[in-house]
Amino acid sequence: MAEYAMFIDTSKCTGCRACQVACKNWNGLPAEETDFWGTYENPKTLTGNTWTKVKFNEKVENGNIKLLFAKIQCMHCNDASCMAVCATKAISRRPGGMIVIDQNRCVGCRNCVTACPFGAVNFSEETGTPRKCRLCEDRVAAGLQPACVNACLSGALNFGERSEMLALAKKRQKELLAAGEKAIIYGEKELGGTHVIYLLTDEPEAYGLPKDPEIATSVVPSGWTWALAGLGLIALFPLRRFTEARKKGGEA
Amino acid sequence: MHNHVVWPMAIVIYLFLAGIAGGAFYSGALAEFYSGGKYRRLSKWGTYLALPLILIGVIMLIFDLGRSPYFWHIILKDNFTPLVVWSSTMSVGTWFLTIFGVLSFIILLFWLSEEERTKDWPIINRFKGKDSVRKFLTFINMIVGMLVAAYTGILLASTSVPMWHATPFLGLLFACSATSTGLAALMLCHKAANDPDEEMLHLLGKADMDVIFLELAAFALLLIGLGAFAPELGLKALITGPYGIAFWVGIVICGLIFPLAIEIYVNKFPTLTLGLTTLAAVLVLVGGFLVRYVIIYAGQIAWKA
Ligand code: SF4
Repeated sequence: MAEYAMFIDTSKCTGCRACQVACKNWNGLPAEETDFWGTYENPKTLTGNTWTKVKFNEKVENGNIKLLFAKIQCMHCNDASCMAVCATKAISRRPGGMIVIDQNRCVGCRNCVTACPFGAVNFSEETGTPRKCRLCEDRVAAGLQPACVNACLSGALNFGERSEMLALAKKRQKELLAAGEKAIIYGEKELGGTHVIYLLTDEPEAYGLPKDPEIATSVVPSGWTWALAGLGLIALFPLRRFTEARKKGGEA
Repeated sequence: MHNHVVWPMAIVIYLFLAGIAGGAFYSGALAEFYSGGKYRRLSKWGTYLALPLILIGVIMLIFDLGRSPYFWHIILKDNFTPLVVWSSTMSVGTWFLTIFGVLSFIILLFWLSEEERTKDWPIINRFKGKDSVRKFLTFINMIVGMLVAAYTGILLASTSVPMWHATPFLGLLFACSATSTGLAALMLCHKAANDPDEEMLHLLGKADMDVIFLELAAFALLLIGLGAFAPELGLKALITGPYGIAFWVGIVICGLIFPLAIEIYVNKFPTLTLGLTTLAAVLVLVGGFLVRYVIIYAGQIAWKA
């Protein structure tokens, strides 16, 4: 199987949210009760029942508000934090690059929810497990495009072999740069390369994307080093106070 | 509704109990070894504390799972062979926990065989008079207990929650706190058992005093690290956010400075002791609980807000 990727060209996104609806449809996900919170963006975050949504990022620039639309979902990272922390091996990478949660293996510990740098893995009360975008593994296997890509009218969403998507992104970046606009590619190198690649028209932070994301397990070796050093100190100094008892003699 | 708290109170309580269990076990074991056997009973109390606390903690963990009946997937594959995922702190930690629980149970049988009231129990007599085996197992389990105490902090660090992930000091902090709460629990055992040996209580207090100094240092490292790597979602959320008061009053003053002051005072004037030391022990336990509670809640709420 080829290595796939989705290419999201945010410069073309109109914020129509057809992708968001298509995802719900294909995956049979229930609607959410939402509030109006000053924007048409809803729900507030991805959830166990909303695997993709369009973020309406606002940025104030020279007194003007710039709207930066971006569809968000699981990034299908090569260095996938969820997969690294999962104790049950419920999370695996498929040959196409998709990161998929085996709902029968998962125990619902939610470590993956806390581990994802993108907030893309979320717990579903109904299933007792986290659920998220699978890059429509089933559709792709049948030769179709992911449901969201299929629904996109503006050309913002593209799907295909990762190398082709990257080439497309670079081509578009050149065009935008030539027109004097900002154009940043996100996902080429981040987290070992992701299977969702963005072309952003502003800094990643303006889209709520972490600038230099790190795999969740990156502090584990240094964490153990400090902790074991501390425990060594504790065993060698504070607790050695009990040797004082010997000097005083007693009933041993 | 979307819940911002992914890991709720059950996890706080579990991490707290596992810390006391590990801390009481290895502190008691080291007290036995360092004192040349004089404080053997601290090792016994450590065992008596460790097993029930670990069991309660694990039961809470299992009930907190979204699919509790499948909890065994954490240590076994579908074909029932053992599963270790080295990159997963939860996997590695669960193995420490399992080994700690099993060894604590076996060691408990050795201790029980010495008790008067177990005379007529079946099987238990086989454990009688095998103290060198018990000591050997205690030594091993002491190390496992340390790993249990440390992993609870590292488990939190191997996430993307900025307050937990931004520095490598959470395992160190939780290990210090586990030791302190373990020593405090042993002090309360001394009281509960009406033990006449005040010298032992003093030494527990002195050891705890040193550990609290280390814990303060660990907190200082954590705050400096958070200031550098996660100023908003880490440092500010911890010391000023909605949990700021719990942090300063609950953890720093009641949980660290106050018991430390008592222990220093008692160390200077050893005649005034029992009541004060008990108070210090209770404060340490309350503080230890708040360390988990504040870090777990403040960290998650700031992250998802
Ligand atoms: S919630 Fe399920 S998929 Fe996520 S880490 Fe736990 S066992 Fe793995």
